[in-house]
Amino acid sequence: MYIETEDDLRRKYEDTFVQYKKDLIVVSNFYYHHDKKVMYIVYTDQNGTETECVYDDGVVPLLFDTHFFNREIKGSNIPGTLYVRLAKKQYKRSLSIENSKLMCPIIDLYAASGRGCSLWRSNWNFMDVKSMLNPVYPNYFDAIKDLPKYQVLAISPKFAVCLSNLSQQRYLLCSSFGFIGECDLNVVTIKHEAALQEVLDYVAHATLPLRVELDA
Amino acid sequence: MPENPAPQIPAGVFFANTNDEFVEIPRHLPPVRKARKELKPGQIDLEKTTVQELFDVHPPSKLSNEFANKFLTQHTELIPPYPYKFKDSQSLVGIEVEVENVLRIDPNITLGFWSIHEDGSLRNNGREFKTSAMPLRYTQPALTQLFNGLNDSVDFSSRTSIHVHLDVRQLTLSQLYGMSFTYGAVENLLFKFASQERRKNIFCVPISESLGLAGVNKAKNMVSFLSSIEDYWSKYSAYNLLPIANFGTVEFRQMCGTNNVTKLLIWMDMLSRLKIYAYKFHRTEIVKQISGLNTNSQYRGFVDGVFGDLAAYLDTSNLLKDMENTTYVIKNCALNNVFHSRVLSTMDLESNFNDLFKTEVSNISKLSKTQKECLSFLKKDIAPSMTLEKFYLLLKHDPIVYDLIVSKGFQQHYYHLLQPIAYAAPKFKDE
Repeated sequence: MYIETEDDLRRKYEDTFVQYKKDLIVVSNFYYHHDKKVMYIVYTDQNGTETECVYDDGVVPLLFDTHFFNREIKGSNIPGTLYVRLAKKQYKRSLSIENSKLMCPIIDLYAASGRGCSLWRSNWNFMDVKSMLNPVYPNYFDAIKDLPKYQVLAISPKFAVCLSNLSQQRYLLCSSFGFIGECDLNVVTIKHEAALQEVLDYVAHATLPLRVELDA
Repeated sequence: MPENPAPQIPAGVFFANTNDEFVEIPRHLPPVRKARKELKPGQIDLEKTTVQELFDVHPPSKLSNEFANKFLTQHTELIPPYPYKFKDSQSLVGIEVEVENVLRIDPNITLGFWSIHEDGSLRNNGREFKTSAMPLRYTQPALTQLFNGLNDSVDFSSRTSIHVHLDVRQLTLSQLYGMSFTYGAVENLLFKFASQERRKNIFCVPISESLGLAGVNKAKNMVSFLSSIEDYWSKYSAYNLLPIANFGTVEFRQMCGTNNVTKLLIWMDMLSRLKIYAYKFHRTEIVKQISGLNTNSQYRGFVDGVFGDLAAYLDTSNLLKDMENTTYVIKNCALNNVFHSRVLSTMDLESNFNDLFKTEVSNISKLSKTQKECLSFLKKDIAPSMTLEKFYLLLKHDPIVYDLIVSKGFQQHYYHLLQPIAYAAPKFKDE
């Protein structure tokens, strides 16, 4: 039976978010004390407290499936965010910028119009990871009503709604494959046919009194 | 020292004793080197160009049939009493088997089908065993030889896995897409068969999660996506397309470390059936089939169509959950999202997104005298009917207007207007 060394553990978990003894932590280090028998772990918890204790092999790596979620950024009105797993070469076994990335549909609009957006950031903190672990989605109608207040809102793991650069009255419906249609309080118009069935499923599952039409 | 030491056997050849004579049989067929045929972009046809032609992949170093047959006649213990019947026993595969705690290796292993390699990711006397390209029908004796030739206490830890390279050189680019879409739709079922734990492994990321095939929409077209596959694909995808450029193979990384030969044979048979399905149905037909999947029975029908009798080995107890998301991903990757491109190339000033920047209009009052002159000049030429405020906003944020300005040679005006520090004011004719 191979026992992982401090180097192995560092390579896998240093600077990653993990669950340890049911708490969400960021791992800083692993090391052996002088006797070389007992491994120690150094980590930071959600309160920002750095702790150093005997490591009891209980790190639970965190990795999610690709999904939309709503995050809270102080002073920002851009909660809707897409989490995507990456397949590039790296060693981190748990949530880190090496194996995952955050994206936001509205940022594409900013970029297309030649603007930058200082209200959104692609790195994440404890609040974001908690939001990923337990995502909360507003009702479709509430999200649409809130849209002028928020620029983008996730309404399900698959979909988000955001402000539109095409219309004053309607909004854009987004999936992980980009903008797929326009929507308002009465109608969802699907412009990318491949997304139709899933939107119909979403409307049916949420029992929304909403018309879905295809205009692709 | 024994009195009659065994003769030294040179690597790569096999000695068959016939009539008390040694006969040399090369282990591998020498690769046939054809003259390089460089394809120009216009010559690449999605429907006609094969993977081999696109990447100019040379035939692999392939296990010779003559050698394999001779080897098996001398190692009859490797001939299975009930040989596994592959649907396409001629299909070429290459196998990589990672094992830990390797304490004994039968020397015959390297004389037959395998070569031994070090692997930095393995611990505890870990070794990687690789075959050259070989027809599926030899995989059973090859795997039997390998696992019989190692100590019983070998460890298939979570660090180990088994990768299978499937030869796709003869597939057209369209058929390769067909195979990739078919794989994508059934990816979760294959993970369940191979190893559900591998799904969360960072070295085996499902394509439905990494959205690898979504790159098709980002590339100029389907041909350029494959031509520049290294720009769009990552090695640690469960379905690794990168080797098509070097070896003409697709690598399947889902299988966990195991010495269960039957499971591995079924696995490779399943993978070869993805290729057969791509030969059988055109890419557009496959996309149509996948797009039409919506009910449990339709999912079941598709799985049966792809895997035939092997579908019985797949866990189809929750098809809706396992295939709903993957088919959604494949549909979206296969069909170009024109609307997304339209949104990004359009800028309607009367939109709720642009309302966020209404305050920018008032910034015109902050422009210098020469900047205002530049603005009036450009507006007069490009959008005479528009108000100065709207035109200023359009100028700042619409890439099409910028292109128009460049085509008319007014860049100097544009840059002076928007970046007054770096660019001097242009001289007007009437000045």
